Amino acid sequence: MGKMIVTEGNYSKKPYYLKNSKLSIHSIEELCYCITKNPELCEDFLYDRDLAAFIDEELGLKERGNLLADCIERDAPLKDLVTVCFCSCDYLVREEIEDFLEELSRSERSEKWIRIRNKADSYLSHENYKNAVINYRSLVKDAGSLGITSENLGDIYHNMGIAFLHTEGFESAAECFRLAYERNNREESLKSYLLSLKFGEKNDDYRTALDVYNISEETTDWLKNAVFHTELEASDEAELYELREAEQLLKNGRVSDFYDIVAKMTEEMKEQYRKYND
Amino acid sequence: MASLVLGMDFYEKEVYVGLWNEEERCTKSFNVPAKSDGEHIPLFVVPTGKETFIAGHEGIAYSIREGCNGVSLLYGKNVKERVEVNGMVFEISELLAGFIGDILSAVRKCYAGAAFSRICITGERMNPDDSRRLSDALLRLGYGKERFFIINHANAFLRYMVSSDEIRRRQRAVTIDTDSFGSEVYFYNPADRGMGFPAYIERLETSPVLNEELYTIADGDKRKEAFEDVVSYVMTQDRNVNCLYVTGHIAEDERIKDVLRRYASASLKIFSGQNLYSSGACYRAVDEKLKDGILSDGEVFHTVSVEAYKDAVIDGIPLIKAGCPLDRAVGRIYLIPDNSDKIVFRIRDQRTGRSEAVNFPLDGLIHRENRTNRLEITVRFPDIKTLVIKVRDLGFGSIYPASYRVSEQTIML
Repeated sequence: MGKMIVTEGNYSKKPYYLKNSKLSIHSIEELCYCITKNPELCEDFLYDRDLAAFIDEELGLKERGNLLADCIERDAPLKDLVTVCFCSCDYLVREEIEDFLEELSRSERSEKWIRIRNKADSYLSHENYKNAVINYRSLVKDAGSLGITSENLGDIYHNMGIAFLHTEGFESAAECFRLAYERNNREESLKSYLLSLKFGEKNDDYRTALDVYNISEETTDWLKNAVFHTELEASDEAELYELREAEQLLKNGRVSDFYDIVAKMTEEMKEQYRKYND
Repeated sequence: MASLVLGMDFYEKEVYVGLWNEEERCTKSFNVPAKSDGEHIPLFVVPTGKETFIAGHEGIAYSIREGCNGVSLLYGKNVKERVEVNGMVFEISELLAGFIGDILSAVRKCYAGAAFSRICITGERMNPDDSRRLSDALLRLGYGKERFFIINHANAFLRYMVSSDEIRRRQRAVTIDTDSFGSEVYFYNPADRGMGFPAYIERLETSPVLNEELYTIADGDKRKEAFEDVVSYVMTQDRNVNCLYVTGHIAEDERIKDVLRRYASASLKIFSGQNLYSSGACYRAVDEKLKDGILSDGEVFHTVSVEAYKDAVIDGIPLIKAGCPLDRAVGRIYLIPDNSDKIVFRIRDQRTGRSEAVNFPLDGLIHRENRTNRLEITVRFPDIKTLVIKVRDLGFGSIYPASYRVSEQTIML
């Protein structure tokens, strides 16, 4: 049966950014929503004293904020913290809370590498690439002792490659995708590997890979098409031209000119940021 | 001229007064201290004309005549119908009328000659004789029987519980009232839906453990121990109690508050404070004012509520109450639909008692995943016969931006 839920506490004008995620909240209901949608990450943002203070001061739920602070202080189990948040409002009904806690227990009982992988995947989806890479690296390092199968390790390498695309660049990403394909044999990993080589301007390696992995004509056409469309989309970005220009200057040893361009771009970005926030 | 609703709680040494605050839809209470702080003294009026101003809890100044104390007569061991004061014989009701008149005129002074539309008096261990004397006194003061009510403490407590949303939602409540007679314990229980009155006093506890006069124990530690005995006794009587209210002088004792803090938990909410009965009496008088449909010009006749889920119960949440001045008749609430495509409002005409449901469809307002639509609901009365309901989509924080779409419905009453 449908119902209308009465909201609890204040609606904060200032958002609160949940730790290690790109999520921000203004109300207790939004916090509950974020917990239910991100069970792997809630450990990160719930053990945060600032969140307890936000609930107390900004949302006006003094008692609940203090309760959460108490739980954090005595390092209570995650389930306790989740319960404190869920029971602060009527967003979820009792059965839903129980189901969520049961799911949380099931997840805690699952194999260690699965927990770490899920967490890393969540970081990845929240664009927290640094933490994602840290977790993927720990899995790769202890793959043997954690009992990760070759195929699963391949998938981990693949996701690590995606994180590297945003942090270390095409070269490291390509290496991850290669290692991924050698383990999971997935076409997706192979295509990602080849695209990374292409975008990283490793044309010799790209050609070698086409031969080594016996790439079909169909896949080659797909790759050409993908590169064409991606560059077409990117060409609309004025910043990309400037970045390429700056990169070229650095390669040619014109460090001072490189810094001038970077400073100009940074100033423009700041200006844009100020406009958005005014 | 303002019309006030007043509740009075008669103790043996003092009187508590509760005034209905229309703006905040609640009562404001304060005590009117008596001169005597010792044994019972008979009522008499010292005709000195000297006036003393005493500031009440809410900062309202009261003027009562020195030496005026009518309460002891009600509870004195040998209550006589007539007493002699300064050589003159007075009827008790006559003296009581003088005493009540003093309080009323003091309140009236603070409110620029306000009139009293309803008065409710409550008292501890109120017996039929006490009620009769008080009735006679009020009649002497010119108040018709339809304008005053005399109820006992249990009834006043019940009114308080029913009118206090926070406590009512706790569902199983108990009150410990400590006074010079010992402790009285009321167990409150919400009644099934559909019954005439939404709650009743389940029982009044009378155990020997409650007989000790707690607040007369001089030694603080001993007083604390005795109180702990009372609380633990009460809690063993009903393990389902989830709300404990402590009232009487002892409620202000810091040691007692320490005891209460220990008992407080997520499953047991504790309130402590004074003036419960005067507030309850005031709520009783307000209810009566509305029930009779005695609404002044410029006050709305309808109570508007919305069916919504709060504290794990679907209930009618009042947005505007009948009797509210028209210029302040605006109600606002924030709701999140959960698989619901309509909002149900209930509009009750306080004059006829008739109630009707109004469905407000949410077409075009809900367009995101379930439970990610925060809606602002505003109801207002542009005039006494028109109700306007406005619903606005506020999004769901940074997760889903607001569309600020608005849907409005006008209802002619």
